[in-house]
Amino acid sequence: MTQALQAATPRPAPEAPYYLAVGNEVELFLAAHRARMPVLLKGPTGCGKTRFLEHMTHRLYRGAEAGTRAGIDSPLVTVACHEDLTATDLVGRYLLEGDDTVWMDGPLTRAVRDGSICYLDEIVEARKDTTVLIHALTDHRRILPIEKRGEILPAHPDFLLVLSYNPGYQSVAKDLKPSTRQRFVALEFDYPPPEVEAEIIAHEADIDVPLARDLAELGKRIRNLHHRGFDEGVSTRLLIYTAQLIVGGIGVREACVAAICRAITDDDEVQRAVTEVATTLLP
Amino acid sequence: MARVEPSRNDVAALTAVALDDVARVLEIYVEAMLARPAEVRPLGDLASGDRSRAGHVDLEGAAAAGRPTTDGAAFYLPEQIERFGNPCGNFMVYRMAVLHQLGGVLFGTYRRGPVRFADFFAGFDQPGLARALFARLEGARIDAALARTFRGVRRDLLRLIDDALESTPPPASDRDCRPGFELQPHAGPESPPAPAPRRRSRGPSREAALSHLAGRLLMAQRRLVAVPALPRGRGSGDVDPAFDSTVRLKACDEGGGRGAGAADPALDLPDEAARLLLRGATVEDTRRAVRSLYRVFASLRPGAGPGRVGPFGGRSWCRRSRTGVRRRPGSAVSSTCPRRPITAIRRRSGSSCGASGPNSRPRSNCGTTWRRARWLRA
Ligand SMILES: Nc1ncnc2c1ncn2[C@@H]1O[C@H](COP(=O)(O)OP(=O)(O)OP(=O)(O)O)[C@@H](O)[C@H]1O
Ligand SMILES: [Mg+2]
Repeated sequence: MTQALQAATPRPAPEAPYYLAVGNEVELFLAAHRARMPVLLKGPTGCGKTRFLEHMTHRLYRGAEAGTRAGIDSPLVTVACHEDLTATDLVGRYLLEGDDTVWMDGPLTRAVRDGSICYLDEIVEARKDTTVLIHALTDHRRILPIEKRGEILPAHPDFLLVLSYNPGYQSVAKDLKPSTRQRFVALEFDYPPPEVEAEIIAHEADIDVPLARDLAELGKRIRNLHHRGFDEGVSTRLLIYTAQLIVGGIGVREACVAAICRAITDDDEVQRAVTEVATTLLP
Repeated sequence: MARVEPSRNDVAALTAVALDDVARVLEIYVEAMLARPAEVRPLGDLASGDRSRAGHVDLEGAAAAGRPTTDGAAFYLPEQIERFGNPCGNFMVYRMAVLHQLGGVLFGTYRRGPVRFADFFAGFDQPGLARALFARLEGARIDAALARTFRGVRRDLLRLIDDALESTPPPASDRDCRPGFELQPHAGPESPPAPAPRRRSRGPSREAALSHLAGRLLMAQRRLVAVPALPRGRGSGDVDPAFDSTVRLKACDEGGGRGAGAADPALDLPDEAARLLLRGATVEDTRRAVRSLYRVFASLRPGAGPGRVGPFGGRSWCRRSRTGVRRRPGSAVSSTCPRRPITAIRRRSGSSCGASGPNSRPRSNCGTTWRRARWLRA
């Protein structure tokens, strides 16, 4: 169970994962990291939060600034939170191995011990008992209480906790409590402006710049409809998917319908209108 | 057993698109394109005197002529379109009509300039003629800008232009339609409109000349949009095909001495008009072109009726060639042509676009149904 939850990032490639900065998020993150301040990444789906963190992790653990951190095997431990995720899943549990029980670190414990970055993706989805862990790790104490072992684990000096949170579709009940929220430096992400987004699409899908520009423009226009039943508009991720379908030989209109229109809404008329916008913008 | 052929009305009933059925889609479309909510309303609302949001350059004229128009907040469209023999084509006509109006908003037709529209037209002896010129020239400028800005527009614009050119009635004689720009002294860009010279007793009528101008604008427009798309691949699309053809038009313009029209008979356009199709042309350029062309047109004798305007303009486009022979553009509409579209129209046959086509249902007695090119223009 625990293993299934944790997706330790494989050893990073020699080159940092591609990330195109939109504002001053890189500088802010570096400064926060220097002071070991926990970071909250806010923003809509598919706008680059995960990619940003992968990029920053590479810089801090494999790049010129790595220093001793270069020896840390799994610099980024990502946990996709969901409504059944408990504190135990994060911290660890005893497992039966033959006649013995052996302790198995959860992803959070492993990161705290090793000095990795632990990324709790969509933290508001997790059970409330995880809050206790987060609070203890994100104030001056920097400790992880491991209740089952009666152990208090001090965090490795390089350990950093990063949460992501999508304000767009959270109900009030699931909102982050102020006492949690105010332990983090918050970086706000949004879909990039068309020029930047076009560059990202062109890079990620390996398409020509004019088509990437058209797709970015399409994204911008669809986002004008944010209140029409889909709060987030269309993600950069979907625009990249569309471009990849086109590269794969699918017609422009069909690609838009499959990767964008049907994905963002079930309202037939909104789908139709978005298809017409795509027809207008794309060759 | 006798086979029952479907009548034209049956076909129209199956393929026509009603505004009621597509209004919400169009509203969402406008909202996406313009980043603000907009309403789509039947043209009848204008005709019935609802001009609560007036302010448009020619709301009155549009209401009278049954052309799509906008006051910025609402987009007024015909209640039904049955121009093509399939619902997709007819829906495309709606989309392009809305887009043309949007173009006016996006490319500055309504931008507050140094002179208000009303004052601008009032400064001419014959404000109606100035308006007619403005409508044709500004409409062409907007279409050129749309085709340059949105790469998907070209395809549909071409289809509309071809349909418009194809359904043009035969000219009495091309020479009868030419306004003879070369004979007229050119007004300076900012010179005030000159009083109309004495009318000639012979030569083209004003309507024929306007129609000729519209036809030449269509042909020039066609050149701009009919550039084959470049093969796609990384880096290969860096040259915008529209830009490329713009450059060619400009080259014509620069090399031709007397203007774009001089270099190529198909582009027999006065410089002022040709320039409006180029990148960077503004509504001020249109006003300038109106000022300078007005003198030429004001000197012509008034004719029998309104002439063709183009894919987005014109209200007397009533009959397509029975022989199917492609007619020459730039001709005047026969004076016997009724202004309202007649019902006995040979329909363009076309394939159905399948389940994705808009829901269409027959409309009887529609006040504003477009069968042929009864179109917009500011
Ligand atoms: N600024 C950027 N630079 C480079 N790539 C980007 C950028 N923004 C988005 N992307 C691309 O968009 C894709 C989706 O981004 P990512 O997975 O990081 O989104 P996310 O914000 O984590 O979404 P979610 O909230 O759904 O997890 C990435 O795989 C990447 O290709
Ligand atoms: Mg993510």
